Order: sequence, then structure tokens, then C-alpha cells
Amino acid sequence: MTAPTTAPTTAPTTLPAVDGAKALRVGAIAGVTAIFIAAIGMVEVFDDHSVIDPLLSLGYLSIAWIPLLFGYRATHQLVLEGMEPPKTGAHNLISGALTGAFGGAMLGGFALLVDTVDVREILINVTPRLIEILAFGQSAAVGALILIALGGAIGALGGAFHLMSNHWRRAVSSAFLWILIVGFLELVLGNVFKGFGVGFLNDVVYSESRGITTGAAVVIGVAVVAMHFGFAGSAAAVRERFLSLPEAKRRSTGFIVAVTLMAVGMVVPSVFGPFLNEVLATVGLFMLMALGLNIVVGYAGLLDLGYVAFFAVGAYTMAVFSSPLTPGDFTPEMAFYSALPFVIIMATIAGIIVGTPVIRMRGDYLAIVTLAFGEIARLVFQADWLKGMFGGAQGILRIGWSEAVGKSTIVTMFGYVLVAVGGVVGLIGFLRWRSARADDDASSAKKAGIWIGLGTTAAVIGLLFPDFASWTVTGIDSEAVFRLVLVFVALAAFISWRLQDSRIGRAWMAMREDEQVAETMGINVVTAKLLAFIIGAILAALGGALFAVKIGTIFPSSFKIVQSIIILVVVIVGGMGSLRGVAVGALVLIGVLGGPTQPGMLREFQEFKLLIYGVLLVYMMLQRPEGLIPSARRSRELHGDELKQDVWLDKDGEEEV
Amino acid sequence: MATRTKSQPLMRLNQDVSTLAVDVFLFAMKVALIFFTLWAIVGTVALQVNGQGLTGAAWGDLVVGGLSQGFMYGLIALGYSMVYGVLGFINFAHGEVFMAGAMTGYFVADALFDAGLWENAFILAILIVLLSSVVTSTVVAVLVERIAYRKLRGAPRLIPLITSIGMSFFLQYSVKGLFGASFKTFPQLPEGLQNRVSVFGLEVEGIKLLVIVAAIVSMLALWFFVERSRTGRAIRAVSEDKEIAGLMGIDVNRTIVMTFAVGGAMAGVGGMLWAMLFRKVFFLTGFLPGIKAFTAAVLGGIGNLGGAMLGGVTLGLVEASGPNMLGGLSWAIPTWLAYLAAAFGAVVAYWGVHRLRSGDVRKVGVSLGMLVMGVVGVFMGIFVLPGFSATVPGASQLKDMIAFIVLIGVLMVRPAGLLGERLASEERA
Repeated sequence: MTAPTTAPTTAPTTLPAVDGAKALRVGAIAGVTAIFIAAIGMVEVFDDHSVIDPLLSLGYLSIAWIPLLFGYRATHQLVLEGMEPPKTGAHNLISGALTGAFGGAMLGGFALLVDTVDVREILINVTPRLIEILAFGQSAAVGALILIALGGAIGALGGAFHLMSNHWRRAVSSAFLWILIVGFLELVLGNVFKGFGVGFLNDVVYSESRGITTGAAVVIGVAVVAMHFGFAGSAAAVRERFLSLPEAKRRSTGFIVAVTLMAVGMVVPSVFGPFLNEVLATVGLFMLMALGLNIVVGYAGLLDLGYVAFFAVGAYTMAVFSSPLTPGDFTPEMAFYSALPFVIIMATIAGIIVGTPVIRMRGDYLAIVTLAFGEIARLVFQADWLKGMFGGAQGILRIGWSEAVGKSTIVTMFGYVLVAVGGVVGLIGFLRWRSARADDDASSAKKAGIWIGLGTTAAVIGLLFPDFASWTVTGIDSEAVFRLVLVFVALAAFISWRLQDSRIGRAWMAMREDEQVAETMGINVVTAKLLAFIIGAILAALGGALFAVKIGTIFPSSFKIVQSIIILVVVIVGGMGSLRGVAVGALVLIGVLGGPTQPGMLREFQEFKLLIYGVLLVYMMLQRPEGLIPSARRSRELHGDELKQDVWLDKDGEEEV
Repeated sequence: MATRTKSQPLMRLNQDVSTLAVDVFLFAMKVALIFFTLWAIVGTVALQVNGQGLTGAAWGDLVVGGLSQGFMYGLIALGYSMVYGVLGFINFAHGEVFMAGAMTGYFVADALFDAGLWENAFILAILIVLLSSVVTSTVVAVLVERIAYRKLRGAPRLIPLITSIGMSFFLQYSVKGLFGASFKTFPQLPEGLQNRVSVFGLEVEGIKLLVIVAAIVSMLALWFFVERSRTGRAIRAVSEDKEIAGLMGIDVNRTIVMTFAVGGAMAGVGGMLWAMLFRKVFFLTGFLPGIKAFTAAVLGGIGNLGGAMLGGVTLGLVEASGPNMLGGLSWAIPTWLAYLAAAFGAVVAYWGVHRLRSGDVRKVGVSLGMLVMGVVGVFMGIFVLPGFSATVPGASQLKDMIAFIVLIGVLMVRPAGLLGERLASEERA
């Protein structure tokens, strides 16, 4: 992975021979992968969605990447520090072509086989339509030949990546990537174009079958490559400059970027259609929960698999406190914000109940016990036993119901917001005043006094005019729901950010790295673990409360373990312990694939998303356990001793135990 | 610890109140768990004596049902236990290995049924089904090890666990994608297996008897394999200490693969039996039995083969009789028993005070918990418990919950399990 620092002293003169056996082995894996993807029905379901019109549909794309990747892998070697890089040449191309062709042959053979023998009894997704797609509309035999030829060509292309310089390779890959991204973002960009009055662009870039036009694809590809060379190194330079800023400045820059993004997030939904806003609202909810789980898993290193329990507790508390149709006699019919303190209290209790038994357990037992708690929560809400309280399998209707509006509603009165903000400002002022007084610092004390005064004034004004302005959000208006959720996400992100380097944050970090050592160094592991559970629980419960009002009706079946696992995937793919990572992870994963039942932007993925989440989890753990946007410390923890000078000594790695 | 003064525990009290509060809370949870278990058992017995309980035959059915279910849990638990013993992580995907066996069992049985072999030569057919289930499960288990776990040897403990969760999802939804989400119905069993046969005075369904016998036979085979064969010895050596086993000339890698293979084979047997007994298989079949089998492995003592089987059977019995036991809570506690509980509470409270005063520094939390719970016990025994009863409607829905509570309870009260755990030296935390 690292480039060699010294030129090899003795350069071998001959190129390495084509390793046919390896090419065939890799090709066989490629073939099995392709057959698998075809047989689970992905190719057929995706076929209607074109990516580059008329060249490539998503269906073909779902298998076309295979020869490309495996063709590249066929001659790929890990270059460690101090090793000389392998010679590149024709053998890369031949191996790649061989790999791709063999994979194509396997897929073609499969198509031939299922064309003659009907296997639909067992493999229900191997339909005549699939065979037709695989044969490119020809007979199966001709189709198989086409598959072999195409596989070979794409495989050779994959092999050709070895011949390019690093720079070119990066440029070409990102050109491919950008074409795909623009293709996938059809829905978003189309809305944005329309929203900003340049709707005609839509017809230029996209065809009717939701793909980008060939011309646009070429333009994008050329533009990206040109950008790569035009701005070569400038991205790195910007990064370099950012990193060279002093710590305080870097923080404030990061803060400004975050605030800007939030502002954009507040504005953008107005140009989106209802479907995209629905997706965005789901993204926001999952981001909120992922931020919570990030505290438990990322900061404190406690693998909580039953996180959905807290989500359910939040949703049910909100439901019981706010619905006029609560099954029991206890119907306070509170408004959203009046019920919120109870949500927080119940979440705290739930956090303590789940957190206490697992405190002394080792990590994997903790995981399985939290999983058990997650299932128990669902069973409790589902059982007839407590039907009088939680409505059993029928759930609870009309959550956050407002008689006046006739919908599930959240009314934010800015007077009370002012009270809350004033209270916080006043508290900060008081704390500063106290520390200033201890230091005998008169000028600081004076400044703190101003804070106290401002805070108190704001609070008083808020109390006097609680409804001088208000913001009503109804559950079915996903655009408004998203904005409200974004406010909560901002709050959660701010809390996480402040916690990261706080006293408790550092205690979590120490505990994550070595619990015994942390305890020996005087960290109270018990409180640290419980606090992580409680804060995580509160954030999940807030998500649950918002979710409950958003959809207005909750059923126990919304709170399955899958939910926990999906949030876990978001945290792990984004990067455990990295706020940016978690935010981006939620945006990309939930935005594209969707939640357990909620659709994402690519609705075609609905059937396959849990499969993909599973694959992602395995892939990330094997290749990048620290996540896509890792926190620096976490990657050091996980890759401490890799890529060192002497790792190649046990290159096979298999003997190592 | 040389000079224990009486003031020491009180000083500790001042030092971290939160830790003590947590200890007390934990103690209270344990007491509540034990109290409700005892109440349910005593109540069930009392109701039975009063003639309000189930008939003997119904109990017999429950026990046999619990046993057959439990033996299947045991078969799956063996795989969890062996892998945990050797590699020290929970192979979450093992439930899916079991599901693969059950699925294969269905497909082969269905094909044989269509071919007519099922009815004409049932024994042969069932052997073919068994063989294919075992082979599939073994192959799946070994492949999972090769693809997902081999690279992660020596990674932090949670990394392979997360990987196995991903693998579990991948396998579940692959099966859904390939074979559809519908329930697959296993072909009707021949008459002889559906009828009841009489064993030891119990009327037992033939199929359940078959399940129990098959499970015992497989378990014995496994036991012989592990205890007597060369490979078995290698497995035991590797689970004792991988490094030294390697130095002794054992191929550690091959042995680990063998462990997965053997565990997978047992899960295959379990899956095939499951498909025969419940006659319904679908892509999520492996999830709950998987978690429950892990519970069984922990209950018996992880890494311990006999323990896995014992844990499985215990869990099966608890699960089968649990919902009825919950009915025992409707037994009104008689006054004398409540007062007895109050007296016991007083003793415990005094004991706690005694421990606090004698300055047993290590377990201040437990002593405090004894004091608190003793006082609570006295209060409850006098004012609340006399004549107290609780009814739990729809108790049969709580079957799964009972299994999960068993898991949590065991890990809280006795994490080493019934027979004690046997783990590789580097995995003992």
C-alpha cells in the first residue's frame, strides 16, 4: 500500500509468467459471485433501471463490476514497505482477461443449464426473463459466448488498471464513480434542477428510463479526469493546509462547516419531492440513533446489539403519554414536548436496567445479553400480558394527536425554546462566574455576570410570552419532520462532540482500549459504562419519540433486532467513534438503501438491502474495521502493527495464531 | 488487608457511591429473579397438589416436547461451544448453518417424496436426507470460516463477533433470495412415526422419540470422536493452548477447520431433525434457535461438550414448562409462608449488617444489598405478600422471553454455567 521509498537494486529482466491457475481460481470465485447475484434475482429486478442510457442498466451493472474487480485482483499484490513493486505488463492484461472470461463462461454455463433444465421449483428467481437478460436477447448458447467475450474484455480492462500510473488509476476510477453517482442521484438532482429553475438540464442529463444519457456520461467522465489533472494535488494541499492550522482554528473551521451543512440541510428539502423528503426524514432518524449508538459502541467500546430496545421505549413512552387512545386508564394526552421529559426519564431507567447486569460481563457476553434485552422489549410490548397498557400486537394509535389539527402534531413554542437556551446560557455563566471567583479574576467574573444576566432575561421573556412564535410540524409532513429531526441531530452531534474529549469521553476511550488498565488508573468503570448506556439510550429514545409522532401509530413489529443491526452497520461503515463518519454513513447507507422497512432512494434495493447490509458488515470487518471515515485513534488501535517493515516475514499470515 | 478496621467499609462507602448503588441494584435484580422463580415453582407444585394443575399426561407431553426440543438445542449448542472453546468468539452465524441443514433436509425430502422413495423405503430416504443435511451444514460452516473468520485470528474479540453477525444476515437473506421467503412444508411422515408409542409408561410421539434417540446417538459419536480420535485430541489440545499445540506439531489451522466442520455436522443433524419435527422451514428458522442454543451452551458451561447437551436439555425443559410455571404465580401466597419470607429477610438483613461491621472490604456492595433486600423482604413479607397472587394472561407468548431471561439470569448469577467453562488459556477473561 505504501509506495516504495528506494529503487530496487537488482531489477529482474523478465516479466513474470501468466499464473493461469491463479487466474482460473479467481475467475471461479468471480463466476460463483455472478451466478449468485443472478440467482437471487438482483439482475432481473434491477434491469428496468438504466444507469447509462442505453448502454448499461443497473441489472447488467450488478454483474459487470465482477470481472472488472476480479480481473484487477487476479494479478494484484500487496506491496509492503521495502518490497519492490511487481513488474507490470501484458501478463496483467492476459490474466485479467482469462479471469473475466472464465467467470463469464461459468455464468454462461449457468444460463445454458437453467435454460434446458427448469429449476424454478427450487431457485424461484431464475425466471425465463433472467435467462433472456443473461443471453442478451439471443439464444442461450450465443448468450454464453457473448458473456465469455464480454467477461474477457472487462476482465482485461480490470487488468489494465495495473498498467496505469497511480495518478491515472485514481482519475479513471473516480470518473467511473462519478458517472455512477450522478446516475444514481437522478431523483435528487432532478428535483434540485427543477427547484432552481433549470429543469431543462434534467432532459439533457437524464433519459426517460432514469439513467444518464451517454453524452452526459462521457462529459462527466472527461470532466472528472480533467479535474484530476487540472487540480492535481490541490485537494491534498487544502487538506495539508487544514491540518497545519492550529488546533483551535481547526476546530472552529470544522464547526463552521458543520453549521453550514446544517443550514443547507434546513433549506434543501423545500426543493425535494415528498418521496425524497420521506427518505431524508428516515435518514435523520437513523442518524440520531447512530449518533447514540456511536457513543456506546464507538466511544465506550460496548457492543450493544439490543439498541432497538431504547428506541422502542422512547416510542412507547411517547405513545402512552400523548395518545388519546392509550389502551389503559392512564391517558395524560400530553403534547410532544410535555411528554419528552418522561421519555428521557424512561430511557434513563431502561439504560440502567440494561446496563447494570452487563457491567461485569466480558464484551461478547455483553453483546448477546443486550441482544436478549432487545428481543425482550419487543416481546413485552407485544404480549397480551401488558395489552392493557401497550395495546399488544394492535399497537397504539394517534400518537401526539392534536384535536385542533386532526393529525399527529409537534408544536414548538419559541418562548420555551428561549427559556431552555436562556437556562443553558445562565448555567454556563454561573459556572464561569464560580470558577472566576475561585481564581479571583474580576474581569472574567464580570463577563460571566453578563452571561447570567442575558440568560435570565431570555428565560424571563420566554416565560412571559411562551407563544410569541411557534412552529407546527405534523407527522405526515415529512419535509417539516426532517427539519425538526435535524435540530435533534444537531443537538446530539453537539453533545457527542463535546463529550468526545471531556473527562468522561477520555474515560470511555481508556476503558475501550483496556478495561483493567483503565480501572487500575482510577477510572470508575461502572459509572463510565452506565453513563454510556444512559446517554445512548436517551438519544435512541428521542429517535423513538420522533418516530412515533412521525408515523402516528406504532406496532411492536417495528422494533425488531434488524433495526439494531442496521444502526450498527451505519456506525461501523461510517467509522466507530467518528462523528463525520457516522453522519456520512447514515446519509449514504440509509439514504440509498433505506431502513428496515422504509425505502431508500434506490427502491429496487428494497428486497436486497438486508443482504447488502450483511455483506457490508463482513467486508468492513475484514478490510477496514475502522470504517470509511475513521477516527484517528480508532485506526491506530486497529492497525497498530500493520504495514511495518517486517510484516512480510509472515506474509502468508495463516500460520500466525 | 493486614489491618482491617471497622471504619474501612464506611470509608469505601463514601468513596464511590455509584458503584455501591449499582452493586445493590444488581443484587436486587438477582434476588427478584430467584424470588419469582421460586414462587413460580412452589406455586405450580401447590396448585398441582390442590388438583388445579395439568394432568399427568399433559405434563408428560410437556416434558417429552421439552426434551426433544432441548436435544436439538443441545446439538446446535455443541457448535457454539466448540468454536468458542477454540477461537473464543460467538459464531453468530451458527444458527444459519443449522438453518442450511434444515433447508437442505426439506429440499431433499421433497425430491425423494416426489420420487416415491419417501413412502416405499423410508429408512433409506431418511438416511439420504440426513447425509445431505449434514454435508451441507458442514460445507457451509467450513466456508464461513474460510471466508469470514480466518483472516481475523488474533483480532480483538468483538471483530469476529460483528463479522459473524454480518455473515448471519448474509446467509439468511441469501437463502431468502435464492429459495424464496415462503414457509417450506416438509412431507408428511409415515404413520408409524406419528403414532404414539409407550416408553417407560409415557405415551410419546414416535417422531419425538426418534429425535431424542438420534440426538443422543450423534452426541455419543461426537464424544467418541473428540475423546478417542487423533483429530479429537488435536481439537482438545488446540482449545487448551493454540501456540503450544502448534509447537507440538499439530496443524492448528486444519484443526480449527475440523472444529467448524464437526460443529456444522452436528447443526446439520439438528436442522434435519428440526425440519422433521416441526415440518416448517423458512429463512429465519435459524435465528431464534441459534440464540437459544447459545444460551444453552452458556447455561451448561461454554467450551464444555457435556455442558452444551445438558444446557440444551435444561433450556428445552424450562421453555416447555415455563409458561405453565408462570401460571403458578396465580397461587396466592399463604400468610405463614409470607411471614417465613419476612423472617428470612430479617436474617439476611442482619447478616448484611454483620458483614458490613466485620469489615469484609471486597464485597461491601453485596453486604449492603443484603441489608437493603433483607429490609425490603421483611416489609414485603408482612404487608404485601400475604395472599398475593398474579395472573399472567397469554403466558404461552412469553416462551421466548423465558429463554432470554434464562440467558440473562445465568450470566448474572453463574456466568461459568452449570458444569463450568473450558476455554483456551488466552480466552479466559
